[in-house]
Amino acid sequence: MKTLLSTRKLKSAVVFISLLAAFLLALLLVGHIVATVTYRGLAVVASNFPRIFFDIPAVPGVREVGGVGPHLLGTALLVTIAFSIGVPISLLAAIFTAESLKPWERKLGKMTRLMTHMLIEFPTIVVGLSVYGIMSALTPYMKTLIPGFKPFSLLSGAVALFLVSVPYMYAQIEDGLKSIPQHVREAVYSLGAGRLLTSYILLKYLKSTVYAALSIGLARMVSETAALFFTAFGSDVYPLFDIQMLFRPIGSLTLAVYYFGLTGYENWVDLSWAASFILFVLSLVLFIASRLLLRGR
Amino acid sequence: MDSIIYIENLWVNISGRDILKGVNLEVPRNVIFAIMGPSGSGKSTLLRALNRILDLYEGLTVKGKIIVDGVDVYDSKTDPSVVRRTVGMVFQIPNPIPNMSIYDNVALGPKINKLAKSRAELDGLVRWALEKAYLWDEVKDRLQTPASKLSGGQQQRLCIARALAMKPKVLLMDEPTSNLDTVATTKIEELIVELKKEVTILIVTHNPFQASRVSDHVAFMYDGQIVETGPTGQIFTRPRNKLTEKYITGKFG
Repeated sequence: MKTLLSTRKLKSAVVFISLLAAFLLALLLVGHIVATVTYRGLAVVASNFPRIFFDIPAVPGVREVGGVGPHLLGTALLVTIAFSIGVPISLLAAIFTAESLKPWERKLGKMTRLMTHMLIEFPTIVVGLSVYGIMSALTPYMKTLIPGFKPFSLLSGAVALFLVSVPYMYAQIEDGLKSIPQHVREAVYSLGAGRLLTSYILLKYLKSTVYAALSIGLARMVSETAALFFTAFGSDVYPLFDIQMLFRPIGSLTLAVYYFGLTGYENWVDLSWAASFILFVLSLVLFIASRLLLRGR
Repeated sequence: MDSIIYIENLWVNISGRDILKGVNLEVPRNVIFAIMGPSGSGKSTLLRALNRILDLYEGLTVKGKIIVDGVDVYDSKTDPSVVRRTVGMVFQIPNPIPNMSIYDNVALGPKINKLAKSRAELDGLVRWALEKAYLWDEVKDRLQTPASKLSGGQQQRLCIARALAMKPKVLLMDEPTSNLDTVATTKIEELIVELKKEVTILIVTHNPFQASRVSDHVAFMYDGQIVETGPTGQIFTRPRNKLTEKYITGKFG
């Protein structure tokens, strides 16, 4: 009996110590990333404040760094378009597949679920490339309607971000709806609510899941890089504000981190660190805002 | 006698299995009508057919006719939501929306169906329903606390209040006490008898004693069919069918 007890205690200790070690390792890695980005980026942001948020990048090889204004604007535009279309579509698709009633709806729902789960596993660069392919194929036709239509554009970038993020948001919300016990769902239906109203009530019941899904989706959009290579393409200047803006290349913070970081110019590498830091702070703000929003309700 | 429910040759098949096999039933107004029978006899399915909650089940086919308060329930032009406004339901597991307050749970039906024109009217309706369900005195000081904080018996009475707040003409109760202790069960049985003045009640139970305690009429179901139906006193004292007799004397199976 005594040996049995001690093996049990030993096992418990081993598990506890490995958990602690894993936790410390994760903390160390995250801490290292945060510390490096802050150390290298904060100095650049601080010494160029607030110009860094508005200026265009300086030419390479000089002492000034300039700013990431066009990239910040680009990220804002890309994410705003993709997110504002993505949220209603994720919600409606999740409602459609989780709350389908007719046989054909159930079949279509199953297919939708399968395809989106496949899309989640897709490398995002492939998603970007596919969007580029589709946009290129469309270009000759679209040019007759919109003379300035190009495959490298704000529109393509937004579509790519949409495709990267919507499957996540959809799958999370759909899982949430499916996890609601059938008797709770029946209760709402039994009160005479139709499908949309029932789903609305059930989603309110699930609000923390929905907020979490949407904030993860938003964070994915803000931090996505690979899907934008072949779509938004990148740009270091401010776009002209007209309707054609949708069909011209646009910069993003993530592309700025990548392109400037790859060069050997010291001022551009500094700018890359500054962009990383801004991106980090932006994600942090989004994270905290979503938490506060959730708690405030 | 004026009947509120007519069921004519009702067949229900779910995923290739016949659950109900030609059910015929008539339910008079303002009575308590109990449907009893062993597990798997199709009692719950019959109840769920009446307000079309069955529509939520995959692979469903329904044949036959159900008329509730003059409405042909399975007519292609009938909106199931409209049926559910006339036919309230209380389920086997107490199922208030857990994170919703006590008040909001009761107010949900009236809100969905726009039954109250003002906040004061809604307040009145909620209070009326909670009083009818014998719950008002226990919760009047904490209407805004989540429904999940109530005990199981209280939650079930809350569900009854929620169904009553829609002023239904028929109330379906699917084994409403099977998850409750004896004290809570007694309370709910008393409540059911009292509610007869307001609505016609169809109660499904696998407990013949409960059927004999609360109901005016009773039907005995077995294997998807109604074996026998009649006034409760008659069924429990002079059953015509051998199966019914075996069931009510507890010699079944």
